[in-house]
Amino acid sequence: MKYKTPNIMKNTVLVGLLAIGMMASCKKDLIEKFNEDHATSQTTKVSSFNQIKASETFDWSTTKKVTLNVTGLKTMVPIKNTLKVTDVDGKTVYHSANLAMDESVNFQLDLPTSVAEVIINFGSISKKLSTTSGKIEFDYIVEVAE
Amino acid sequence: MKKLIILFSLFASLNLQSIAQTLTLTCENYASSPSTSNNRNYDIANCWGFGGVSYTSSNKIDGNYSTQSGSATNLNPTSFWLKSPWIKPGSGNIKLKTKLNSGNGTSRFLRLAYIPYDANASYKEGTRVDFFTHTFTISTSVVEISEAIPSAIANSGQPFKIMALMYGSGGNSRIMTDSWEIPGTYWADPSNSCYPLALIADADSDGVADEDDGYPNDATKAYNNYFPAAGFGTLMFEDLWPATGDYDFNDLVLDYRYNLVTNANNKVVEMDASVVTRAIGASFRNGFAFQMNGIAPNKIVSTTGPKYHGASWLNNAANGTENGQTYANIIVFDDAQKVLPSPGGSGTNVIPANGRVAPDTTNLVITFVTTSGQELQVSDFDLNPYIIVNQIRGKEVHLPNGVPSTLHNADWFGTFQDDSKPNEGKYYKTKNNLPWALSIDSSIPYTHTTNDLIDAYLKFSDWAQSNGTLYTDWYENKPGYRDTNKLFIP
Repeated sequence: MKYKTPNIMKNTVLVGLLAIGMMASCKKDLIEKFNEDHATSQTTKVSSFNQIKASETFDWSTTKKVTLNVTGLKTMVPIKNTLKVTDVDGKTVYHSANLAMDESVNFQLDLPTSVAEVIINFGSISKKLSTTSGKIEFDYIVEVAE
Repeated sequence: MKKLIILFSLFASLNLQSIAQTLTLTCENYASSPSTSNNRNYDIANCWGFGGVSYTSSNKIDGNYSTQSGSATNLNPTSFWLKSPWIKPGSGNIKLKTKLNSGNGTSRFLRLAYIPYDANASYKEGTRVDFFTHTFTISTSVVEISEAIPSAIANSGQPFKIMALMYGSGGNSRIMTDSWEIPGTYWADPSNSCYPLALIADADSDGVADEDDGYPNDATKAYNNYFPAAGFGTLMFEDLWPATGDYDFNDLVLDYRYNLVTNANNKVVEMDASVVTRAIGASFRNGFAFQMNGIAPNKIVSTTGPKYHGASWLNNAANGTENGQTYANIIVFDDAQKVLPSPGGSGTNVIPANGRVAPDTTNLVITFVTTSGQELQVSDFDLNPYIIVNQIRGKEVHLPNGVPSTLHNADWFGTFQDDSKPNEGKYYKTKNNLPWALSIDSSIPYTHTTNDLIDAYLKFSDWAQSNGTLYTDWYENKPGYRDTNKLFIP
């Protein structure tokens, strides 16, 4: 049996999708505007590569080094599983390792500069974490409200 | 913070089934790290379950914390509950302490039950079986409960959960518990939704489940760690160093991707690298190599796949690393012109009118020592690619701040436009900190010969001059980012 979706529900879904789309588009526009505004105010226009003046601290790489700190959790019996670091879509795997859950370790990751968040999976435990500070802190505690 | 302790009796056997254990919930034994704002979460991570039951330090029974239900004013037994992780129950008594937090209410009960495993049920929990009910006297006195594990489940070898149900009527008092002891073997997997421990499919018995194992039938390998993680990256070189050139960055253009293969102990056993020679916008006969910064040559067992054409300066050890180096250096090829011959005219794949040669791929396989204590980890790898200019072994061009190999002739530093200052860690940069080589973590088109890079990549200079704060995506194919007329796009 098919049920007809009430119009009000359809409209709500449409408005929601539209809002999400506008927000995403708005964020993108803001980034572009930031780039354009600051390109004019902060950088000198040059007509050839050899006129570029780069800071001595400038890192010419398109990747960044990010440290992943994993804090172990004392478990009743030894638990091992695969820790996987992926992009937010879960499609691109940046790192895989076999870890005991009570083990505290750290890894050095080379991530594209544009990657602001990663997903870290350990079996059924999954967390989305920011990379922007250059350090990712991961533990196995999943916050649950009282 | 909460603590779960499992007490292991000291049996000699390591057989988990034979180890007598007592699962305890004391609400006291917490870990200082990771810190958590909600102590109960630590026990939840270890597979205890709580329904409307929190932890409190008020009116505690033992130590600093006890569990506490909401106001037990509903006679529905499942109003408030606590569940143990899956255990294989032993024999003996389940013990706990309980009390009301205040002496009011018409009735209060604490019921014990067990839950069998049911693979088809929600949360794998079968139908609950109640086996004991304690009726409270309405007071705040502590009661010690000690109830035998039902014979139906004691030593059955099957997984069960023990559940406490708290309910009642009238007033607003809450039911508290503490100091739980449940004889049995812990049988839950916190990394698998707290389901019962199960044998994983692991064909090569290396301890990594087949579904996660990139090499399920090879116990010496487990994971692939690619860089770039998706697709290829691009390396672009200018080869007139120490003089600056035309900044078309196409004197040698390579794509690359490597995979550090690790075993179940997360040690690197092999590196598989693909180097795709795409273009040569120069007349020099450049070689291409990379240094593994910080890794001694004797960490490498073997190297296969380099393409050599008899360069006089080639001097490799049996393991494929270059002799005379402090760190392992692999010469990928000794002469780009031989790897990617010109179809005629100047350069290869940089002038469309000259026709196009199919890029050449060099596949390397490098194996590493697996002797205990000598192994390498992924974080030990810091690859440092460079070209060897026009068959002069001592003349290397690296990425900006790339440390030269032992065989580089440092006399070149500080000559012409080079402003390298080894004592300051500055290498291969001009006075204005401009590089002779670039690495991009995705494969991008390069320029036609003599076209300045910034005429093709329109946001590059803003990126560089803003110290990397603007247009971090300068190399992407976005509207307004590229002048495709300046790029060699087959």
